[in-house]
Amino acid sequence: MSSEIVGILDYGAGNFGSVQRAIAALNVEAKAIRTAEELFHVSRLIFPGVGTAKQAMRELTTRNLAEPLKEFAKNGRPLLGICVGMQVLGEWSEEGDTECLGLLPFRVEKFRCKEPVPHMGWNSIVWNSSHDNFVCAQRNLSQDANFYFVHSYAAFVGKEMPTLPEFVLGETSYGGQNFAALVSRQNIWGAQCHIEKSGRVGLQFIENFLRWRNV
Amino acid sequence: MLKKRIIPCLDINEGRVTKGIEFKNNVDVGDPVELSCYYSDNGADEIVIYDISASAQGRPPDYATIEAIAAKSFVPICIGGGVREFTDAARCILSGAEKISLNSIAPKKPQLIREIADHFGVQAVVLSLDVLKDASCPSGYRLFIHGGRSATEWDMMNWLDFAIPFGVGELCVNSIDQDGKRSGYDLEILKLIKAHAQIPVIMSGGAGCAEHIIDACVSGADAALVASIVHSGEVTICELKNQMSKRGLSVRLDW
Repeated sequence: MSSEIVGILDYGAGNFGSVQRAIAALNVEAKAIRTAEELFHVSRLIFPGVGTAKQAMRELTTRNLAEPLKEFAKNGRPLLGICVGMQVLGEWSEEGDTECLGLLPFRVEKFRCKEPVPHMGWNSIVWNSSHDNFVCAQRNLSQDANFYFVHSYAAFVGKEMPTLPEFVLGETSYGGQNFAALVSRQNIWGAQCHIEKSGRVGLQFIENFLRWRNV
Repeated sequence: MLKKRIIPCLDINEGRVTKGIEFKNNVDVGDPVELSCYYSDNGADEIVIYDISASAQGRPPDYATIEAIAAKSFVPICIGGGVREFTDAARCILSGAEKISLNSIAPKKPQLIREIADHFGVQAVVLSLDVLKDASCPSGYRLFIHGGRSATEWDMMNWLDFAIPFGVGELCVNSIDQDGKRSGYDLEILKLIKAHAQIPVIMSGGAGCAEHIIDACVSGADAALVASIVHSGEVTICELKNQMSKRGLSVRLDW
């Protein structure tokens, strides 16, 4: 592909506008992508999402976008899912017992803790500094940078695990449960937090994703 | 660790930010878009916009202003005032808001809480309540509506027991007695509510210095709404947070 074309998937997700405004603030032009045909012409994609995993998968299926999205990712083109957009990159979500895209090997479950759910507010991320994309992803961000979260479901990281799964770029703890706050495997990226609403820190993370190149 | 939030509140009247004392005598503070941008760049964890004339004039929120704010302020935005129907709420969210604050409309139309929560999630619904001390109420506080001008039949705690199950994600509690007086939040209300409700509580009305905010957070508040104290320029959100941090409260200090 000769030149970079950034797309934002427009499939009815409520935070599409916020993501669009965030990209505009970075002085990057991005196209709204509504069909598989349009998706074919972009080189990099941001995949927003709010609401439920079931709703998101239903919308993707109805609009014939689920398979093209998988193809997009398998072709090595960079893809960043946000919030529910990240959750559906996994295999399955407990929310509505939903089969997801299966691009990353995680399952999404509901918080089971004494703290109020949703986990809502600003929280920090413990970065996985041995991750392949760490240097690119964390560029210009401090170790204790805070991100804005709103979610009732998450890809939990078992505390008994000796090491983090290789795709976990950063984890966060809430109510005694650890979950994947940022995920990435080569070109496939996801953020559980609302990076489009996490101030300068969030915009920086989006910029870092936009700079990522397959080396 | 989840951070305690500082939320500047912008009361908008005829397109300008104003601030009153005990909900009266409003003075001009500035332009809503400029102020929101300034606050979001300088440590605000969220921004609350109350269109204080929308309800009174029977008009919907000013969507153009919400959009202009959202184009420059990349923190969560909560809109209050003028939301009467689900479609008003949906349009606020499409314009760039994350949350809808319901106040006067909620006792008249509690199902609106459910409609918004069902569609956007409970975190999108903030139940805002203006309460005034009233010894004749079992909890000691009475619910008021219309910017504190009209008393309702509701005792504060009875109202919360009734309203929260409709799908309230967060409470914003304004003490009319304390509003704009800068003598501290009413911590009695906070204790009553925290002992009872499992959802985040934003304290509003009465902050005069960092110590007041620290007291509220130590007593269980999840966030503090600030207006006069920051609009006047005598203290910045950054200074407030530094003081909170020194007292062992977890706050967001990088932005």
